Amino acid sequence: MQSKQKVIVLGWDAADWKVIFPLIEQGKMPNMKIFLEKGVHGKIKTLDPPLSPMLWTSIATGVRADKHGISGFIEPTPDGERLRPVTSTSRRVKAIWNILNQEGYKSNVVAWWPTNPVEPINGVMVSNLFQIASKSIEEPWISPPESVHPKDMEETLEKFRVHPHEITLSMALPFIPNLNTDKELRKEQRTLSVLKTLANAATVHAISTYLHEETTWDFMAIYHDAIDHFSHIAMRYHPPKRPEIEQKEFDDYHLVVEAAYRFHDLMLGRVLELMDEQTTLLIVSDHGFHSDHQRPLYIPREPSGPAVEHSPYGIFAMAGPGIKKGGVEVSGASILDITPTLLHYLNLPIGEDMEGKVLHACFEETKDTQLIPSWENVDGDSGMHDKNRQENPWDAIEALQQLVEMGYIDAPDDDKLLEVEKSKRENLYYLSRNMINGGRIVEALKILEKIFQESKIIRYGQRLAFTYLALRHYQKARDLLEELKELHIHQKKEKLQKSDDPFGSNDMEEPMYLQYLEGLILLAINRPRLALPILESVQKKNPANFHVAFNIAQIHNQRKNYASAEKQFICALAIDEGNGKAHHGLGVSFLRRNLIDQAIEEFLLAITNDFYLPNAHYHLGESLMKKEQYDDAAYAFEVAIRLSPGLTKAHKWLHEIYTKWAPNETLALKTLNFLKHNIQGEITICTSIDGVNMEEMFKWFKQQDIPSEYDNKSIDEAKMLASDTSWLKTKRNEIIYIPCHCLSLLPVDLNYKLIVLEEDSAQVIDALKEAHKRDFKEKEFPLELLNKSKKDQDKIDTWIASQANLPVLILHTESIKKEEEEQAEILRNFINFD
Amino acid sequence: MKIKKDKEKIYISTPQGSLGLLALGHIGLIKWREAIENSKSTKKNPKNAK
Repeated sequence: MQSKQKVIVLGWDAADWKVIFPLIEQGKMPNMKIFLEKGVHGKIKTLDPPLSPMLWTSIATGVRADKHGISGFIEPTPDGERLRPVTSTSRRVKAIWNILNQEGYKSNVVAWWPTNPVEPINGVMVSNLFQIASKSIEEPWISPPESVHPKDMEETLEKFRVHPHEITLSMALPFIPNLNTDKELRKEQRTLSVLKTLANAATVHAISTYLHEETTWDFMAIYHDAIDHFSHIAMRYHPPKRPEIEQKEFDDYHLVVEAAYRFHDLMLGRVLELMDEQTTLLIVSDHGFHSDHQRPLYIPREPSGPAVEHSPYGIFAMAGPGIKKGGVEVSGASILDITPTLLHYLNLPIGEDMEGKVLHACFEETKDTQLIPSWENVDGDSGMHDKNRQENPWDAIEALQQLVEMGYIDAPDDDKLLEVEKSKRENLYYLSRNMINGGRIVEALKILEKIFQESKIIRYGQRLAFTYLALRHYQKARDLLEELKELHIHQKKEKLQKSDDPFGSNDMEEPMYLQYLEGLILLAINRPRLALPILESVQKKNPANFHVAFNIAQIHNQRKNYASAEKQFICALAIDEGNGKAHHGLGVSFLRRNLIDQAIEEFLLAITNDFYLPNAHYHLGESLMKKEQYDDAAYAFEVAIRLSPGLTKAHKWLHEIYTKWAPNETLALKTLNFLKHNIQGEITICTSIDGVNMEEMFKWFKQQDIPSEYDNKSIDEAKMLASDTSWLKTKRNEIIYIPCHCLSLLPVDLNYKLIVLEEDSAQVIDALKEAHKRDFKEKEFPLELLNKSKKDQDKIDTWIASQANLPVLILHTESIKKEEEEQAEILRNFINFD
Repeated sequence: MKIKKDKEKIYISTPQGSLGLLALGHIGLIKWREAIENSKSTKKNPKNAK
């Protein structure tokens, strides 16, 4: 019988390439260097909110929190009266080890979050509470109930627990060298936290090496929380030193993070030593950790506040039989992809209800993905808990205390019931954020409305306002903004009354989010001119805020001020160099300025950093069209459509490619069918630069019996395209006027024909001078007017270039005067009305 | 991947321990604790010292 492929998944909470790669370069992580060279690696995108229990359960199940049921650090007990650390009994779906259990695999699971109480799998499970020492070393160290399966393994594994008091000076010195001379430092809370974290990591590692060597297994999942804990303790002291960090503190703790990663590298070295050639190792983190200029200057005093230190991209690396070798970089991974990728690797089907995908780019050979509707309906011994189980809340009280110490949760109030209520709401808040992150905005909205109504907590209201914006409920967003402003003033007054020091309020603790929200609302309702100064004032106080710079850049792009847009996108990328959306925005700016090579470079960077950006693929396709690289362009459009099936403009380009440039009857028919079903009709529009006498031209259309519309009402409608496009669909079989600056607002679910009216530039300038006569003195050289005309022409050219299969007719007023009949005939043939 | 089970390797372990020893996992832990026990018995009975 063929033996099963052995796999180890090594979870390193919060591990980040931004720390690892420099250490590899300095020769300080030699085992990681060797491991990376043997296989594939890449960044992995986290989910929102980046909270570990939720994320590690998504890694192990391939689904988000609303499906798997783990939404926060704590949960109410079944009697609803108390709180406890989140338990494994709350998980509603099968983890990968449950699926493998059914398929006859033997698994060892160590410290995965949350696995208390342990599940009765075929193998060994050691819960995430087992390694935590809650009492002093003199007192008996009693393991939490049900923290080891099988129970008879408990006594053996207890021998491999390391108590923080056992950690010696020589073990601690690589983390805090000054301990050698500074005895006071040994009593510091941060020092004690370092020792505790190191002891926990040593325990998890010792248990896993024991199980590795002394049991038979096919699959191992080992979770280390130490990098996350070390980073929360001391990333602020990690070099380079920031000005606000005191020199003494920097001297004491600047090596903690480096030592943490080097210790993990040593542990990795041991895992590699123990592995045979047929075993595959996958290292994954759930999110990254800001280690550079993006380190937050303060930690919000709110539940899960420390999560602001997390960055959106973690790491994954994989090596073993059938995995590509040579350090190949794989892009586009999400933490939801780990379980589907492993199932595929083990020749097992993926549940259609899983939200991740198979990372095919990791494998040497391509094979078809097998699918089943859901693993939840597959019978067999999965080793899961009985769903009716209940837990004693006090079993886990020490772990709850540790979460308080880490700053993840507040200490419970005296009024425990109130605390439970607050925590339930907080968990619902996390759940709603996770749903928004997964595109389930309407469901999230209901939750947010309820918890904000109940609590009037500004954080919830802020998220609710952003959700209204996403759903285009602009009036509700504006009303809520006013309510939040009042709440903010009220709470500020209360805070000042309570505080002894009226100057104690730190300016840094006001991120100006209400102004930011106001700016975004104005932007959403197409008031970029009003939004811009507000966002600029926010930027003055928050120069290192990526989102502010990004939104200002978007305004400039929208207003076609591409040079200003580029400046702000570059500013945003200086804050977050790996942000795909900013690379995409910068690329669009380059594309519109016809800097195609630079645009392509930015779109590729955008995709490398964030594969799930359909518009980045789309614009890459558009750029490649300009380079006449039709096959590559088609591929980019196909990917865009796979990510966003309704992307009509990509279907239009594909139809053009498959009919004209790289003919393919089948594919052309396929895209045509899509367009037939999705295109609402064809509209003939007429535009020009400012100054062309449109009134005269539309009169001429009428004289030729060509239906057309040019009056104040139609001009106003055209200018309001951003908020209402419904009227367009009633305008078939007539020529309508669209000002050149409104072309980009035309909806994509219509086909267009474009008539561009041109006039001699001297006449245009005269007309503009007349229109702007207050601004221009007689005989003054109209440089500004010429520039304006050029900009208008750019707007028309840019829009034409961005449209697939767009028929364009240019009519010149001079030609019409000279060859009226001929031009009228050309126009009739072009518009071809019914 | 390099792959050698090395239970027979001789580890240098002292009562002070080291990160290297912890990184060896359970084997390192066993060796370290043995070193601590040996050191205790040596202190109790200096004749045992080698």
